[in-house]
Amino acid sequence: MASAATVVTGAAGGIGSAIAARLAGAGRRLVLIDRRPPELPAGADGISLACDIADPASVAAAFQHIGLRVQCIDGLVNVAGRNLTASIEDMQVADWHAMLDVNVGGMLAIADAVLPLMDTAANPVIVNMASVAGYMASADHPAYVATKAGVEGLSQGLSHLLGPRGIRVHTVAPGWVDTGFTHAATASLSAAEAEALLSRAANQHLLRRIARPDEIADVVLWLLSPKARYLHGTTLFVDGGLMRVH
Amino acid sequence: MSRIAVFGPASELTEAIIDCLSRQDGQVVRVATAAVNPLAPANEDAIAAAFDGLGAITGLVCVTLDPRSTATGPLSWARWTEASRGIATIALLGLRHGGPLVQPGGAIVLVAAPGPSDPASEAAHGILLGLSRGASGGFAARGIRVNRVATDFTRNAADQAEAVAFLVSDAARFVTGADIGRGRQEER
Repeated sequence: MASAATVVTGAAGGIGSAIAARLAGAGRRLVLIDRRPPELPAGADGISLACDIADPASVAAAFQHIGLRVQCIDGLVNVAGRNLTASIEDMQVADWHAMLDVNVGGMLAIADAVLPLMDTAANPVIVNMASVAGYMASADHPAYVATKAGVEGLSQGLSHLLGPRGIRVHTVAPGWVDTGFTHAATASLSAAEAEALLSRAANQHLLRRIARPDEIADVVLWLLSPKARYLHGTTLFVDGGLMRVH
Repeated sequence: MSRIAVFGPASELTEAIIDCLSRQDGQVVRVATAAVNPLAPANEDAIAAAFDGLGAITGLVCVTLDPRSTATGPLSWARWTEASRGIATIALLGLRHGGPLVQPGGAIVLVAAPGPSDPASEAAHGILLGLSRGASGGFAARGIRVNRVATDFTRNAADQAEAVAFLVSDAARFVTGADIGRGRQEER
């Protein structure tokens, strides 16, 4: 029987792919999920598949396929998320629901699908990706703030439900991270404006720079490991001290 | 003179808030409880119509409710949908249609009635908290405060209502983007 696998959603994105690479480097077997099949890191053992996490039929189909290949899952890293630039007044309700269903509901749906495969895992762990943004006022991105705060609520609920089963649940809240997601948020700005914004953002962090994706991945890898075996239901800020200046 | 609109489905908490605010100076307006069916919050036109003709207000209280049905499992998609729409989408629609009526210097409070405590509900409460934090930025530009009350600090609806009344009052004039209560509901 093959070894346990770790599921990563949003594995084609900046943070997700960095986590997949770190997990592969640690010799973990991978199940990578994104809207399009993500690339497996070179030399990695595992599978990669497309799934819309906000569509229950798509999740069911994906896990039917995964169940044929994987008998045990010991880790779930819920990274998949999207952004929405719209004020409360201008927001379309359909877009709001899409934000809720991808950024929070999708994490719950994947957790539900993974649980039956976690029963035999020696060290089962779920890590949900939130954001420092979940604590911030924002005229332009209130739905992002709302859903990232929602991730913490979800983790809180899961920690109560799953702790008694020996499944640890963590939330990781990065500050600014140097990814395509971050750069897309500055796409409407000129190059000079974007650079100025990122420079200001860097200076808001006590460490005076934004994170590299591998710096988020290293923390996730540690939370998944037995070294963090008594950590449960907490939010870990991986933000270079950003929360300390707000 | 205050004029505060209370928007949301019928609940013990809604009545307690109206009762509490009514004992203070000013006017309390109940906004079309019947239009707010937490199981059909996508009915935005009915909600917009409920705010039509209301005129200027100094405060807006959006009461939300998780309409948990017993037919769904704790991690099912149906459970997620009802909890998230019942709590978070109702609040969004209250902000969208009631928010523009709030005058500068006014205040908005988001609050969820006591309800179940499962991951879907906890997530929806988190979204409500994040919505108040996030929206506080846009509304601050108009001099309006936005805060949230989580009702878990007491089981007494009258005391929950006091926290809401405080946050819409002038005594909380420098409080925005904040929350009272921790957010976790007690299972009952």
